[in-house]
Amino acid sequence: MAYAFPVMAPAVRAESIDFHYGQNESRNQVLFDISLEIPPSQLVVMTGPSGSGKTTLLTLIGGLRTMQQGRLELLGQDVTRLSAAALVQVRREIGFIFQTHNLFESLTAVENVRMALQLGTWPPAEMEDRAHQILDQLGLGHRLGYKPRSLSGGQRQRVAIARALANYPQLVLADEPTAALDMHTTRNVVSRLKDMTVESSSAILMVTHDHRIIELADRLVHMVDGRIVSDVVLSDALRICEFLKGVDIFKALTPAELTNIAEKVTRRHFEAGETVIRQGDEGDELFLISEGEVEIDREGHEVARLGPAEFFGELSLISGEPRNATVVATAPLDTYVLGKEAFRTAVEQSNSFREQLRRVYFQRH
Amino acid sequence: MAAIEARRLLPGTKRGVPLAWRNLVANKRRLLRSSAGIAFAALLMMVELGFEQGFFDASLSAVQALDGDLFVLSAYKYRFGTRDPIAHAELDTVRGVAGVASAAPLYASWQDFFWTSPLDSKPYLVRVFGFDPDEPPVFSLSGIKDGQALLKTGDTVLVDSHARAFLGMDTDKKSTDLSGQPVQIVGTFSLGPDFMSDGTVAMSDRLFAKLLPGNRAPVAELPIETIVVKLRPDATLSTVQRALRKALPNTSSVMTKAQIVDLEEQFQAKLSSAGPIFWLGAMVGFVVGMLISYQVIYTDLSDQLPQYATLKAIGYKTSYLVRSVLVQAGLSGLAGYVPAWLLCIGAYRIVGAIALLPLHMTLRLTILTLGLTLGMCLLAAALAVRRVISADPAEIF
Amino acid sequence: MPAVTLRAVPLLSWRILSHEKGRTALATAGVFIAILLVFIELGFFIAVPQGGMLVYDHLRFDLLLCSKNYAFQAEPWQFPRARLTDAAKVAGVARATPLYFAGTKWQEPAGGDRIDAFIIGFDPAARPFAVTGIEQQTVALARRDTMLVDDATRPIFGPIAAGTEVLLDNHKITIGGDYTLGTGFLGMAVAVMDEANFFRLFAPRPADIVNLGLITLASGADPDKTAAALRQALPDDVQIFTRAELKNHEDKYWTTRTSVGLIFGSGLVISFVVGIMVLYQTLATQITRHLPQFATLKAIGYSDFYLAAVVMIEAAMIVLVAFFPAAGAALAAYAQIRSATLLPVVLTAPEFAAVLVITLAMSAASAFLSLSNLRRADPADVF
Repeated sequence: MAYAFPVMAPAVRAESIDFHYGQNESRNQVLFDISLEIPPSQLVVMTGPSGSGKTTLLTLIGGLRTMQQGRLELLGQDVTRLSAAALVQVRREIGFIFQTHNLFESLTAVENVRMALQLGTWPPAEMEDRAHQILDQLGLGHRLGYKPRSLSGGQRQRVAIARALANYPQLVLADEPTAALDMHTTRNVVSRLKDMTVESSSAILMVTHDHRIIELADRLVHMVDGRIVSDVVLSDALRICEFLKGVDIFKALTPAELTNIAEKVTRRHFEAGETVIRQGDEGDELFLISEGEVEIDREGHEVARLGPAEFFGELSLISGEPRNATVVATAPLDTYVLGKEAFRTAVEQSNSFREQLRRVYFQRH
Repeated sequence: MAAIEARRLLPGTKRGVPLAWRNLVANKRRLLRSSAGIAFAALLMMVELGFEQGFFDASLSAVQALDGDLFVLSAYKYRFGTRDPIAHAELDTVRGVAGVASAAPLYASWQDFFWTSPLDSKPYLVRVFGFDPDEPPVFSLSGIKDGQALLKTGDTVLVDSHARAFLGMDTDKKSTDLSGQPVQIVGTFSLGPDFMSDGTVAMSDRLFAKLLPGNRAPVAELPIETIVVKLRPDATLSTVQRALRKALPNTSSVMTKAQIVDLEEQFQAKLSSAGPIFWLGAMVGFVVGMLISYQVIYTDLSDQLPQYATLKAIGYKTSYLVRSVLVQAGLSGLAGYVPAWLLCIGAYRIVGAIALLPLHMTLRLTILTLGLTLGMCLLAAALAVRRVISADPAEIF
Repeated sequence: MPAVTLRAVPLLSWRILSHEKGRTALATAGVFIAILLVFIELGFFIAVPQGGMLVYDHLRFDLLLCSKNYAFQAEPWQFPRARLTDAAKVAGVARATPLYFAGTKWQEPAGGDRIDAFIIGFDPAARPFAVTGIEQQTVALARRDTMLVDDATRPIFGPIAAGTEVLLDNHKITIGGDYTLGTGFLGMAVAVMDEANFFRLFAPRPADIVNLGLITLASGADPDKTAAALRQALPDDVQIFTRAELKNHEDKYWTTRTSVGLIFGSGLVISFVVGIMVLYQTLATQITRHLPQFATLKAIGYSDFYLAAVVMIEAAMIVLVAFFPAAGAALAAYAQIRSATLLPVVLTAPEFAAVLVITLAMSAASAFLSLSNLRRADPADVF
């Protein structure tokens, strides 16, 4: 692949952003103390009534307007004080999907996509191939040489989306991208977008009212009158709930209790051979295995192996004693981690959880 | 960076997307309309400047037709085409200078002879050239070179077949009156009229002396309009020119053909009203072309403003967009220029034949009008492109 | 069509135009330039022959007596003096005065180029020139070897202040003063002289040779009848022109004999076409942009004629708004041209009317051409 993705810094970090239009008497403030952090690979959907300021926020995050109050970091770069000219360079890292396709009528689908590719670092020989590829992935492989005039409304929008995604942008900003698309095409587009969150760790910030997308989002941000009134990490919570249901200590919990726990859980990834818990260490985390396998060693011998939907590390949390074993990942390991505080709260709030834990604890002993 | 940006404007699939070219040819009807408008403006400029060139060339047609390396004429001449002859004796002086292979006298009358037109028997003033038929020809015109020998005997003349029609020089008539005296027409040459004279007659020096109104001097004493000097093959021009200047009185000057042309140029610039008139017409063509071009470009930009703003949004510098618009304007200028150029060739031919003006699409005219046409399109684009520059990419959301 | 909608046509045309101020302004500017060019080309077209009439317009005569070979003012040929005396005998003729023309080489005493100048000899007592400068400086004219110089004489001839000495054909001549007339197309320098000085300068020119005869009629005499009588009485080596016939002749000479007519005529045609193009371009694109609106009007029930009228009125409005400023600019341009080229380019009422007609023709033609676009407005497409 022609791109290397630095994945550590959040795609967007906004701190206390204020924004107003106009001067003096006609001054109209549209954003109030907006703080928002979007990590890589997250599909964020922004909703809100018209006039809520979500479009203004989108344009600020897109580097299309210069900042007034607050701080903004895009892809690890502080863009708060950047001039309009400098922002042009920053925007090359961002994929924009507008409500109207804004394609050049005089250019073919491929050429419209290549206009975006020209801004990247593609060797000329690969540009054509990449344009073909992304258009193909969006179902336009048979329409490469067609001009917008000869394409349907949905096809035109897909070309515009292809243009936005061509350079594997790490941040994609979209405004009602699927308004003109039918169900089948929408599904195709959204799955393409979701693939991008995985393949290139792209973060996607999308303004939409399309329920089909909202259902698939990772996070829902709702704005009213220039403020963020709710910011919920959705699908992680849902996914974790689903997962937790499969873990027997959580089996009997109510959906509300599950959601509570799900919201407090964080993801952590370990490479094969990495030590997750070291015998003798302080224990302050419960690990739930999502993918992968671990080996539990005591005094140097393997005692047990655990796989997906199983958990470990609860003992130290319950008893307060140091870890009584070492746990090593034997394959690349995806886990959900519940911290000490969260664990305590979950125990206090849920009788069934307490019951389950007691049962497991005594079972294990 | 500039190299990469430049690549993006070149047509071709391996290089950048040819946005300017594509935008130009996308809408065929609009391209036709804009090309027609620009073509007309270009044609207007070509016609006006062609006239200016034609006037100038016409006044110099006789000079250009001279066949010599150096020319001796009165130092007081403000232009070639005026009567101010030098003393006949200077001919010997000239012949005596080293490097001179031949020195032939050219006698001229610009407004003294009248020609009786075979068509209506009315008298008209004509320009008359006289020369010695035994000397090497003073004109490179084939009609004179070939017909010179026939002037040695009798009252014979050669006439300008390209003279204005009413002179009737282009007929089969073999004789007519010149300044009241009968002459025989034994041949023709092709020179053409200018603003001062409608036609030209060529004759021997002997006949010239005989027919010149008010003249009593024999040929040997007849004042010469200009001495046409041919150099030896081994002689250097500047050396001989200097030697001649030294040998001759300072009432005479020694000039090359280019210097005579210069003299005429200075005269036209200083005294003639013709130049400014034509340039005025050309400038109006320029302004109209600019307006038409501006309108077309402006409309195109307005229609595609969201697209241009989108390019800005996704990370194109404003300079790229400006360049694309300028290239597109330049291409549209060419699209209008080429048909105008082709049309003009025909127009020159037709108008030139009617007006008897030497209208030619020269390299100089082509470059000049092409420059003006491209200039007007680029200027229009520069004005219209402000819309794109000020387009706010934030507004597309 | 009901009367109320007929009145609404101009209103609708105006509304459409004023709604798109930018485009309308642009079109008006383009038409302005085209009309200005028409003014200028037409100005030249008319002025050039008028330049030929300039001196005549300032000479006092009712009929002109000249050689039958008369070509134009600067080439009048000549005739014997006897013709004047014969003419004076014809009934209705009050006086027949001679004018003498000659070309000379003018050189400043210090040396320099010898440049062609035009001299007119006359009898001051006969007062042929209706020029204040000439009439008031009779004393200077009477002086020996003195002339009065037209102040439109080009600067390269040197200073022409009274008292300046110049060489004409190597004779010392003093400038007694200058007058304002205009050289017309006689040459780059024109001067007038008492006939005594004239013949002294141009000796041995025979006194019998006259170039023009100015005939003044007795009061009550009819010019045409007297002209006919003169033609009868005089031999056919001379001819008679009335003022009208003279103007015709000079105009025809300049327009046809020289390339002037072709040059300015072609410029005129091209500017006309350019004006149509600019206007057509505007109207056509406007119609295309407003096709839905026009189609809707058709759907509602307005006739094709009505819509055509809207477009035509629009065209007329644009050209009329452009016309008056263009006329104003033309006046300024004419002033510039007059000083730069010495051509008597002026705006006359007939010329003004002519350009107005041309302008309206322009608008009609372009509107007519753009109507084909209007036909594409299909009311069925509105739905």
